[in-house]
Amino acid sequence: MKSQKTYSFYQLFLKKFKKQTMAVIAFWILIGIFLLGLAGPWITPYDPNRPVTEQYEEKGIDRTNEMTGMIQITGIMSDGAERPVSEVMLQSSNRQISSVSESSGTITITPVGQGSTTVLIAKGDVATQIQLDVSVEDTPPILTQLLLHGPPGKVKKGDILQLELEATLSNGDKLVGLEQIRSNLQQLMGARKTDSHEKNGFLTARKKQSEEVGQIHYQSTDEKVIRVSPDGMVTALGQGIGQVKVSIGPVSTIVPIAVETPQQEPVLVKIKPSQTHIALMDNRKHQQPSLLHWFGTDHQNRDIFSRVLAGTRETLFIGFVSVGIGAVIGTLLGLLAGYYGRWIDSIITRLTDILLAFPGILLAIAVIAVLGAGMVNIIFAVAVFTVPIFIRIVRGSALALKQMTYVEAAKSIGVQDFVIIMRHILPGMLPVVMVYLTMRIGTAILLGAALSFLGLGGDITAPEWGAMLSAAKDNSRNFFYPTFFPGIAIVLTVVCFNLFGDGLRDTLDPKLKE
Amino acid sequence: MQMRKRVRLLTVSFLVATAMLAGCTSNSGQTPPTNGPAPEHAEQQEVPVKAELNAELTVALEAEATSLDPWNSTDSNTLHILSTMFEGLLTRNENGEVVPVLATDYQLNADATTLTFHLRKGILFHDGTVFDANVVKKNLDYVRNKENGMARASFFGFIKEVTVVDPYTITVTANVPNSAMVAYMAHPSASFKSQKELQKKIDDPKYNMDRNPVGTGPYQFHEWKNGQFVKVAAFDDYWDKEKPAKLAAILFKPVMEASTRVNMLKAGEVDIVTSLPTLDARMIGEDANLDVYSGPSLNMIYVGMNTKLDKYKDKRVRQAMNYAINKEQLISQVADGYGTAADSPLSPLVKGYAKQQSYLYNADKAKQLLTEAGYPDGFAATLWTRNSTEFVAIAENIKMQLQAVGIKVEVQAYESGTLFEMLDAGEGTDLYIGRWGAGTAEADWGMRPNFASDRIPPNYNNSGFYQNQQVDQLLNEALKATDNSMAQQKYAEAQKVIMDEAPWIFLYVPDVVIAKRKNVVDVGVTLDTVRLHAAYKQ
Repeated sequence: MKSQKTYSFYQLFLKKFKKQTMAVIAFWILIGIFLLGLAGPWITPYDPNRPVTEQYEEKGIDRTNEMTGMIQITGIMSDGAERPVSEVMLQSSNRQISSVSESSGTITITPVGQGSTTVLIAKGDVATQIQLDVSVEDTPPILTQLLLHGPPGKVKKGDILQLELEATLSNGDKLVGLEQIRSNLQQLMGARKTDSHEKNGFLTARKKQSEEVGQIHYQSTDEKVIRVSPDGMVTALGQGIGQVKVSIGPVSTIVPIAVETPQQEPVLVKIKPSQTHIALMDNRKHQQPSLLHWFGTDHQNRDIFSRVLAGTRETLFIGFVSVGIGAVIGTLLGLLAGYYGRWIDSIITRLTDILLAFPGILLAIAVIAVLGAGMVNIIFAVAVFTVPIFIRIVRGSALALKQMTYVEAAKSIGVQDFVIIMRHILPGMLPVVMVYLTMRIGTAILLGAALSFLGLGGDITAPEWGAMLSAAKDNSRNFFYPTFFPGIAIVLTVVCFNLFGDGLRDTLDPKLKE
Repeated sequence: MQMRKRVRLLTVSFLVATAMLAGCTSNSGQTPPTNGPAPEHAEQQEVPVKAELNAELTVALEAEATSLDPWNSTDSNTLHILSTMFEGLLTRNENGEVVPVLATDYQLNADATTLTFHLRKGILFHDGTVFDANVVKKNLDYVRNKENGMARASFFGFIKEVTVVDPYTITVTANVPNSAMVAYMAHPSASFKSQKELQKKIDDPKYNMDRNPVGTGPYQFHEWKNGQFVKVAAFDDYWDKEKPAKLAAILFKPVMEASTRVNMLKAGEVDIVTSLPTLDARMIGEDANLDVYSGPSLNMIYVGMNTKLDKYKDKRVRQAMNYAINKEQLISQVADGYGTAADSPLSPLVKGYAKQQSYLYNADKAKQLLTEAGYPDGFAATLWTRNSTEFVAIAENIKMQLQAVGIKVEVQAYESGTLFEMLDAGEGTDLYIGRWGAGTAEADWGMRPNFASDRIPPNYNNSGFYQNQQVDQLLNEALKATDNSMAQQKYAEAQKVIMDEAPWIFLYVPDVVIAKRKNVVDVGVTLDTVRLHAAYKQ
């Protein structure tokens, strides 16, 4: 009833191919990879060549609060007035956790690594500490500021005063009076012990910090005017203006005391930061994979997902173009050698043997060594490495096809060699060439990646899978994602090409029956 | 006939030479020298006399020692080993101050031309010979004689003559007034070796001093197995009875791969690791069994630029590039915070260093300066770098930061030897990343090779063709200055000029990062080398 089935090569091919489940899956994945490669530059979520931190603002992602801490500082004078202070001395007690810089009263704190540290802000004898947590939580509070209340009235010679000391903690608590501070001190300083590396068995020039960290030190700047006992009892001795300096660890303050003289210019007694405790995130590099960065970020804080995408095109380009060139040249030479035989065959076959004597990667490296690094040269190198293999295959097929009766027939009626080659021999070997081409692309991609891994790919900073692996290899112990994702991209692409090629071969091979 | 005779003679001598060579290699590779009393000593060392001493200490170095001759090695890696066996007249203590060792005191004369040492008495070399003024003279005369081909010969080029005043007093006279003489004599290469050993070398020029170190230090050479270890053992007759060797032996193992060093340390296979990768340093610091030391080194990392090129001729362009780089960001990104932003062409450890106004990151100012200089849209540049991961990371960062002000940089990575050749050839240089270590810890060596006009290629190492007569003059004056503070002042001035002229993009001073197991105590770190004189295990 139905019309007679016409023979169609393509339908048969498709029918056979569809039975190769793996090859079909690989084929669709490859289509996906192609599309990604083509669309690459437009669909990358971030610029693959710049750190993401610079791009959050453009992308409308607000992470400034976690990224840098901005602190305004104001100075409190001895008469209670607030004045702006600048040109303060800044010191991050652990440079591996944060770095600090200041410009006109604003202190910028940039996280460097994970941990908890303190930033000391000092001007003259006044020093304030800020607690800084980078990617850690629940750190015990520390002492941040001290304030010594000056005597309320005039001071006469021989007076004995007890000045009231006020300490501010990083969680905002205030401790007033010596007793209260002392009782809390042990606990406060205990928390600092973890990050003190003083006794570590190295004989170095490291400055010794004040021996008794947990002690309150009183000091008078002018012993003729005032004397101060270790308990903070101030005795006025002579006329003039003296200053009492109190310090606990690195935090210190002063108070001026005028004995039998009118109070002079107010001096700075406290630096008040707008925040005493800052929590920041360490996201300056190697960010973990997250919703924001699917594959994490690399050592220069560039989005790995964007880089992998951007690298797809280049990788495919290297694979296709180099194998394409290699296949065309190889097929031509192979046809010539196989069809004409004799001296042409000898020359081409010997040259092929020479090229095949080199291990593939060495041959490619040798080519790069002569031509210099660069993308174009990589393509050329991979092509050189592909040519001899195609020559061999094509020559073999050509030799076989030459013996076919239809070729002999064509020859006997005087068809030109060129026409015979193009019409009768080439089509016969196309399936073999196609299969080999597909499988070779995988190898070519691998070789291209290997060459750029070795730093022979020209621009080593470009988003290229091999180069990305190379840059990340030293940190692979600490972070898996900078090497894992480019690596998996290479594996996936190469495996897909191989599976696809396998499927093609099984489909096209006439010897394999259904 | 005669011809044939000569041929035969040649053959014979060739055979003999081959046999000798073969003998040499196996000797030096496997056992201490067969000639001389050293091996007997070494064997004595293993007798249980040392049982009360602590066990062996193992140190992982980043590379094989180049030579165990302090006059013939120039890398700080070898210095870690040499400092256990050799001593000089002077040395630097942990604070970088010069202190006498084999001398009891020293005196620089008023016009900085002669330096007189009074030597300590009763010092024995490892081979039992006595140390005195004659030994010092012989040593210095040998090393500074360029015909002997010692790598440090030019280092001692400042010496005009060495005079023995009496057996324990010696005077070193300089060619020209040289206030840096004391610093040079405190350098580890100014170490002294046994006269007997030196005589062997003089008698037989083929004698290999690189593998036969005989000094006065608390440890003596025991064995060097190629590619495996260098072993030194305690020396019983060390002169300083208060500071004897506290370990039976120290093993220095070359371990090229940084990650292997880290793993070995964690596993307890080695006790000390030099040059730890910065990314691991903090994690190791948190390990209860390990300690990490980090401190500034003598190195300076910079981007040099070819000042002959039109684009870099304008000082404002060079300054703009300095303003365009956020050094803090660079340090945190590529060195994990283990570094200090450069505020002078010199490392702060270098004597003569004077802090200058540094180029704080200011992209707007950079752009403005570029516009003023006629490059509102920037320009294209090529940046040469070594191909090690560390340098490539720096280059990448520089590229991104310069891009932000419009300078388009192409990074080209080369193997370090190739790069040095290219720089010394001086052709096609544009931008290049350099690392300069001021080995002497002295300002002259920190600046002269890099900025003096006569050091442009092919001379060493002013690869950016920077020429400034004022700098030349200041450097020369500083060297001739008799008064120390005067010299410092000249050096400070030179640094100021160089900083302002900005022939480099001044980047940062990297830290040395050294890790050890907690049970190893009293490991000294002087400048950027490890000193193990006093180390012991708990």
